[in-house]
Amino acid sequence: MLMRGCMMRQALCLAAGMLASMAAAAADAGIVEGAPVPLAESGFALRLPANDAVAYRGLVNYDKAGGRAGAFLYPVGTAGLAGLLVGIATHGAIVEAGKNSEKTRLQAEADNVLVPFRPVLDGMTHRSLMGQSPQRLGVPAKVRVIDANESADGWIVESLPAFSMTQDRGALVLENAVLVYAASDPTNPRYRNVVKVVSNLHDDADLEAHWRSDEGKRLKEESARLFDHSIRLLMQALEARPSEQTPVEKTFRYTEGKEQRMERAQLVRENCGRAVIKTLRGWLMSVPLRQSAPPPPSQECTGDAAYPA
Amino acid sequence: MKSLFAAVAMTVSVLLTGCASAPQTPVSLKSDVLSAKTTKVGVAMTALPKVDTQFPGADCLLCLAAASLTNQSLTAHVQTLKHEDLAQLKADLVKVMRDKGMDATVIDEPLDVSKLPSFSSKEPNFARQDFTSLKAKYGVDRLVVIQITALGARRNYASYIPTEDPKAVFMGSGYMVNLANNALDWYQPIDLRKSADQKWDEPPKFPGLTNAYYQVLEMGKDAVTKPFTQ
Repeated sequence: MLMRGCMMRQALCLAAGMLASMAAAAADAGIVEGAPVPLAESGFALRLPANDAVAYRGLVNYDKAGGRAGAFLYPVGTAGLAGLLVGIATHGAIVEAGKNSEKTRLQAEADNVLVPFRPVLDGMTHRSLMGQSPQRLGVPAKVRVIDANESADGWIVESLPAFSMTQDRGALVLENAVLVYAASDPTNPRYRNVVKVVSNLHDDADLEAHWRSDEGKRLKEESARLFDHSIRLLMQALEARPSEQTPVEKTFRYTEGKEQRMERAQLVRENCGRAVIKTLRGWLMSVPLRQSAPPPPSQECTGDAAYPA
Repeated sequence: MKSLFAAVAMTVSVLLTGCASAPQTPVSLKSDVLSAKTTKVGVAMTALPKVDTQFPGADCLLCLAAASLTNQSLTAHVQTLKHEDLAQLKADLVKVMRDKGMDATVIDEPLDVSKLPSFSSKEPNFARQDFTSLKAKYGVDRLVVIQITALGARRNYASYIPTEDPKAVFMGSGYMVNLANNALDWYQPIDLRKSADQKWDEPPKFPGLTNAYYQVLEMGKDAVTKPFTQ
């Protein structure tokens, strides 16, 4: 039984790792921003990913990664130039393997932050995360969730969410790779991007208990809230007409858990102490702005409205 | 023969190491300096360095040529990045100091530290250049110097092979010199390195590394002003 549990956990971790890297892969495929699509009016089908496990990782910092600078003596021997080239190639392969191994190790260490929540996370599926999203979104037109291989009419939204938890456990971060296309023309995407959402700070004294309590209710609810927010941002981005104003870039300061972070971006809108920005990669990002003092409590900015689109 | 060569190499190495002066260690900002309301403090900056790439460890000529060639598009992009409002850092620091009640003033002209005479002391925590002549020149009792020495991207090499992904860098130091005796009332070395989130190799605009550059600019500004806000 125990062995079966371990194997299942390994499989989920592997799936989570694969999914987490897919946001970057989706961005690699190129951002597409076609003509506006009024999704809220026309309705759409939200397609579940083929893999049902939701990706959760520990947020990793690579600032200290990498080797030192220094000279390296190549053992050329009597082989001359060929020996030197073989030496350089071998050195390169060893260094590259070391770099990859270090990144894997750092990610594995970062993932330890999730250990107390594994029983909850192992039970999280895309269906449980996204299944109630149409009701929560509250848009006038029909929105329904379809399986990965189910056919539908109208607009299709493919979504691949990947979550991370900060090392201080004060925030969740969602990277949602999204793809929108007409069901009749699936090879011609109307919109492809990554929507990233950094949650507001959770500053409970015991954050492990905070996220674990009531069978992980807060973890599930906050994940769903971030996911819904990302879909709302997607709908707004699709409805927006391209601006004729010259974009102004600036460096935004925001909080990610208890840490301060920065992002170079253009402002899309600001509300409830949060900003929606467009990053240098073209990603949409929603962040809690860093403020010297907490804003006065507002009815408009609590509960689900804490993430206004 | 091999042991003789090793012994000679070790002796030369020890002698060369002995010649190098020890780096200045950090000096915490003294609280009496912050509370001294009658002391006039000038804040100066050295000229900002060009935003560029560095490849430490690619030491031989061929290694450096290979590193420059490999990172050609990165260098071309990094050189287009701006200092943004970094030149305003001394004015920002003066505002922070005035908010603390200090009598602070901006020294408009860039400071060329290399033109000052050298200064030596057997006691620790003295500036290595003689700043005392600036007391009369600027009419201040203490001088805060913001000295930024490197901005841009840096990638460590071991001869021909990069040992890390490029990182945005902000290097330099901030220090306060008592112009009466050249003592350091504050010394903060700054060595900030920020990696790109996700991947870095995204020519021609390198958005991940560009973002890291602007992040490190903000972090560098914070490193200079933070000691005066506490």
